[in-house]
Amino acid sequence: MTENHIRGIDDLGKSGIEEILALSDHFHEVSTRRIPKVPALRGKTIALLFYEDSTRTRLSFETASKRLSADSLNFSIGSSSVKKGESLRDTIETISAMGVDAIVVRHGSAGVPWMLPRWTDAAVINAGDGSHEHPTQALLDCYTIRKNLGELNGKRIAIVGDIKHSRVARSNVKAFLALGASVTLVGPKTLMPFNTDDWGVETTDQFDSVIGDSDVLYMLRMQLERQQKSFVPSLREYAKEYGLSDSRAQSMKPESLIMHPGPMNRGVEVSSNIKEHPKSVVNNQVANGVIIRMSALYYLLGAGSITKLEGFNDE
Amino acid sequence: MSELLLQGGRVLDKAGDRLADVLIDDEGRIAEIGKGLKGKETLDVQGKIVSSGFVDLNAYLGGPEDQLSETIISGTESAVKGGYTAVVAISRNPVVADNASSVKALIELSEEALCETIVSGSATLHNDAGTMSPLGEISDAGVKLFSASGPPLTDFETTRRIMEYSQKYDITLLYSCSNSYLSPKGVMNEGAVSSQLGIPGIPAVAEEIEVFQLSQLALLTGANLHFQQISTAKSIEIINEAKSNGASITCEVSPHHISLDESFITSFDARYKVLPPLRSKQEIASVKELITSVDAIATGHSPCQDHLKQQAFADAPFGTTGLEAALGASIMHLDIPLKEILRLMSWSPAEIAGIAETHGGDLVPGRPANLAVFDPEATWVVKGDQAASKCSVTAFEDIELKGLVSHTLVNGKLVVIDGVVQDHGR
Repeated sequence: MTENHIRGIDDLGKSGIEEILALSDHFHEVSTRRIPKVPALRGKTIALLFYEDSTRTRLSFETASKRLSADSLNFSIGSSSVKKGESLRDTIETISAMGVDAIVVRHGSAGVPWMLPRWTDAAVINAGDGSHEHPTQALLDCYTIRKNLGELNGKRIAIVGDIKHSRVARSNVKAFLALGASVTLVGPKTLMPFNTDDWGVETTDQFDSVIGDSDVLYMLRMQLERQQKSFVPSLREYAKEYGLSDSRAQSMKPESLIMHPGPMNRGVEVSSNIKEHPKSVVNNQVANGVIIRMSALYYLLGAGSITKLEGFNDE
Repeated sequence: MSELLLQGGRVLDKAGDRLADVLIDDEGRIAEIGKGLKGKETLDVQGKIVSSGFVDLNAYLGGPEDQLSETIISGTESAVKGGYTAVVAISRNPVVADNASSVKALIELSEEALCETIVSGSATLHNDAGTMSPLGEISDAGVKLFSASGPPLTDFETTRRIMEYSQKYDITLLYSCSNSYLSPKGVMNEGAVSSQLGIPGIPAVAEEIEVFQLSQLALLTGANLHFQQISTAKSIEIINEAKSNGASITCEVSPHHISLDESFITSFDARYKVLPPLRSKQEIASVKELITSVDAIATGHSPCQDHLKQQAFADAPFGTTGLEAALGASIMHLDIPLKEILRLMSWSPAEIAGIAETHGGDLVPGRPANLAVFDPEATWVVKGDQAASKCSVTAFEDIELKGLVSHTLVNGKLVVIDGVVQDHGR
């Protein structure tokens, strides 16, 4: 039975993050080969268990599994099967009985990845739980920043938007801080968590006050239904106060990055052509997603150490 | 039933604390309390406390529509194992007690109970705050306690009418202040922990606003109110102020709200999902400081089918069991004299439930022997799979408690012996 999971950033700590980022340099090299595939996890079975709709994260894990020669089982469980009455426990025990080595899980409720080890011996990777954590997103963001700015230590990162409901923000805050960056959360008070006293971050509702000082502007996706629930009076007003417009991008530091976890609402949290802005590394993020997920799977199921990458040769 | 002597225990009642034997006659009544008594059958209770049995004002025991979460038998087995000799059965969806025939069906079911079971009614149709139920008809069936809450409580006019109309029948309205209008998706206390976990929170002030609204309406109308499961210090202060202004109000606090805090939820285990939610450590400390102005400890025993509690935190139902852990949690976590704990668990709730003639109070000859025998120093660890309740998922799992019931007598009959519920032929 493994005690090794990537449920949240705290499962890794600084050393685990560093190890996965170091592995990623190797897997980055693999991805540039003519045949970007290695037999590192041949014979391992990985279940992808998505209770919430996801395209990019699921595809990213599936591609990563295939490139490591692992077998992947795809369970797309809509909310309907919950309504049919099958409990989480029954589903996990069923999947576990099929003999899987790792379960990648996404669920609309916070904490599900922490429940799984009660019912399975498989390693658990969190692909997003409610508004709680999304650790592989944070890892790929760290990797992207490191690739573009050299290191995170001493960097100033502003995370902008709907922090309250964002699992990306919660994982990124932990990962960025672990690697020595400082973090400012930016958004209206309605979209801020109730209490961030213990987070080790600054908070502000004045976006313009942080733009010139930030090495990274990390723009979060604005859920369009937030307007209906009065979190913001209108998306137009939100875009005006917290959207990354071309003119705001003008006042950024020379060596700085624009990031976004996708999918983007062009015209809301970012203006329509920001993705193509010279400072934008959004497409890097997607490409690095596959590499990071290869590293995460190898970290849990492979030899673990970067010094002896067994089965790491070209096929 | 033959004569029974409880020998060598410490008798603790309103009159005080003394080493004495208790002789119970063959009709199940206390015959004599004193030293050196003799009886046909003798039970050695040396080193233990003999007190009036506990009275719970708030327990869900199932009903005709729900036999899966709990039944009147499993629920009262759980009660007597915890030292309770009387329980107020609260309705919860799908069990509704909003008309005389439903109430009579519940009363009929309660004849199977192992201890006295007081059926409460619903003051509104379908447990919903919208429309008043026939209070007179239900009251004629013998019901004096009525649940009056139901989300959302924003219809103040109906609430006021219920409070006014109820007075003809001398009934007490039970309110649980867990309205969701401030946080429709909230499932835990709002604070540092909910922010960290990304779980929608319920602010303490949501309860306090409702307590304030209802206590002001109590002052306006003169109705008898009892607040269930108060979980914040500010709520108790609001109630105390209304009491000092003349309101006829009482309130209860639940054992889990004084012993377990919100940080347990970092495990994401839905056993800790309760309503009102587990509060912060600071809040619990403040509530404990005001505990002497509280009127009762009531369990809020709210069993659910085990598998439902094994769902994701947001998806699982609210509720925990509490009948078997209440004494141990209270002694362990309240730094007050044992006499005060008995006031909160037996004497005062017996008065609120209107059964002070037969439960709680002074142990004197002639009264029915509704008694609990317990060791106040015994420490033990809760294991849900050993519970008498049908529900084995409890917020108290693996928690160490202090104070353990060894024997419970209902009308002189030993229904629990050495912690074991006796076979009752059902």
